[in-house]
Amino acid sequence: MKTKWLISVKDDAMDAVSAELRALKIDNLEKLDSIGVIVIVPGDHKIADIKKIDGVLNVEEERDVSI
Amino acid sequence: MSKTLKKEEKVEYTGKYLVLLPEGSNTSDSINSISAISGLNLKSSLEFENEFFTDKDLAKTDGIVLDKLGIAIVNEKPKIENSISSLGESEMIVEKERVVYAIGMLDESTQNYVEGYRDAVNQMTNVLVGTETEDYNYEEQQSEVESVGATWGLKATNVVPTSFLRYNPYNGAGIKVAILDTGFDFTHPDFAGRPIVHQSFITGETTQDGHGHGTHCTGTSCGPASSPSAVERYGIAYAASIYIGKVLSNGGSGGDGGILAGINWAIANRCDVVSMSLRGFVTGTGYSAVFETAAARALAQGTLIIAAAGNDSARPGTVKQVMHPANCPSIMAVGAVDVNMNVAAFSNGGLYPTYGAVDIAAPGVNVYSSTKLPTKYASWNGTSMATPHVAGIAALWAQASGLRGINLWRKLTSTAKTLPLPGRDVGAGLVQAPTKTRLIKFPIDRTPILINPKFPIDPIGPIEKIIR
Repeated sequence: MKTKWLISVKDDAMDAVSAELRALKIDNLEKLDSIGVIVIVPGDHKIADIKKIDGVLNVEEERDVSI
Repeated sequence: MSKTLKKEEKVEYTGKYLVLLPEGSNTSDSINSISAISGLNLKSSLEFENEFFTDKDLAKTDGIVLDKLGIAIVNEKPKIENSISSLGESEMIVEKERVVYAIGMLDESTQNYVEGYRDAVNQMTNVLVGTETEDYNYEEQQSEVESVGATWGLKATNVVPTSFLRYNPYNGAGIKVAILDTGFDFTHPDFAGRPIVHQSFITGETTQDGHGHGTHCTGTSCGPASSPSAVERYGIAYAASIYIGKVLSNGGSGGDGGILAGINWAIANRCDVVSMSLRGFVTGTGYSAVFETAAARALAQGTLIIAAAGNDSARPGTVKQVMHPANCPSIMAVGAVDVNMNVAAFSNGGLYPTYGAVDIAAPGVNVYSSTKLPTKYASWNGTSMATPHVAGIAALWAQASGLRGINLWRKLTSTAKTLPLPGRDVGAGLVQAPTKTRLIKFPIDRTPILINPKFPIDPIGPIEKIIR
């Protein structure tokens, strides 16, 4: 399973960033509106590509967690 | 559910105005200043006995300045509106007074002021018309305390006070607590009939707890007040609404994208407290900027996230740093102590000055609680067990004080019991539940020594003059 990326987004930029991600052919995305985060399965993209999108605050790879 | 789907709330106004006076100004100067600017004739709350006034008092003047708050309530007389607009052009902030139907969020200073006001009025009432207290029998109360079995953790945190002089009337009613963990055993008899909202964020697994960890944490934070089969009380906020988010698999692991989804779900459901007994291992420095942003947004919306510091230490030799995501500044990190108030050997510490601190400590060694069937109950160790103690007590404080978000955080840390241990390991100290003092009325069966303060009766009696 591919590692997901976690993208925090500026206030009120969720729709714009989502549109930009779809334009990059990233359709598998989960919008978490209450906390302003989008979770994506990145494909062949680089983190730097995502960070360039206007409205993106930070991009991180998903980590494993446990009890 | 997303934010955009939230129900629109209609704001109603009373017709009065609230004027926030400039910082640091005193009441009499403000009254003069407002009079000069707007022509309004205000009174000070100090002019009323105990600063208590009614709508009738307000109607007799243009408004009243609340001396301790630096806020003026301006009434709804027709001539006021033009005057009000002139105040807004000065340094004063003017708002319409809203109609309030339930206790809302107060900041701590307002909370203290209002509580002080209430206590003063109650005290005056007691002096004038006598107290309206229940009669408590010392022996009955003492035996009641001794007969109530509760875990050491509930006693140490004052959820079940050990002194008959204190009692805890709070149960978390009206407070929503989300437990993001391995799910919950819905067949557990101690929770029969209890409504539980649940959602799985683990693909292919239902919220039914196949591990037991989530059921243990839920038991501590929100378990019942009594149970026919448990050996002692283990649950704290027994009337809180339970929200189970399964973000860890039955094997006890998951990805932190699922945890963010769980946090988002909890906020969308307006949960007041989120308990996360989980951790991602951190080897380097720094914390997750994404989680920090999410947690700060949660706090701003009134949701307090509480997480385990982690169990990676081997004290006294090795102290590991607070792990992800508890190392984010906007997430409350919980360390563990044992029954003797020593730091648990496994409990991680705050190693960095600007982030990754342990914020508070709670019982985390030999913690008895519910777990999945057929085992039903178990005593476990871990900061995982300490975290739901803080979550449950946060629910009690939320109920008792009406505070949410960062104000609830401050209430928890400001009321924690200081421990003679490094702040690195226990933060503000041992979390403490809100309690009340019992009012005990003793029968008066003797003549008071002082009948008239001017002419005290000598309790010994007259000294006889001995003539030899």
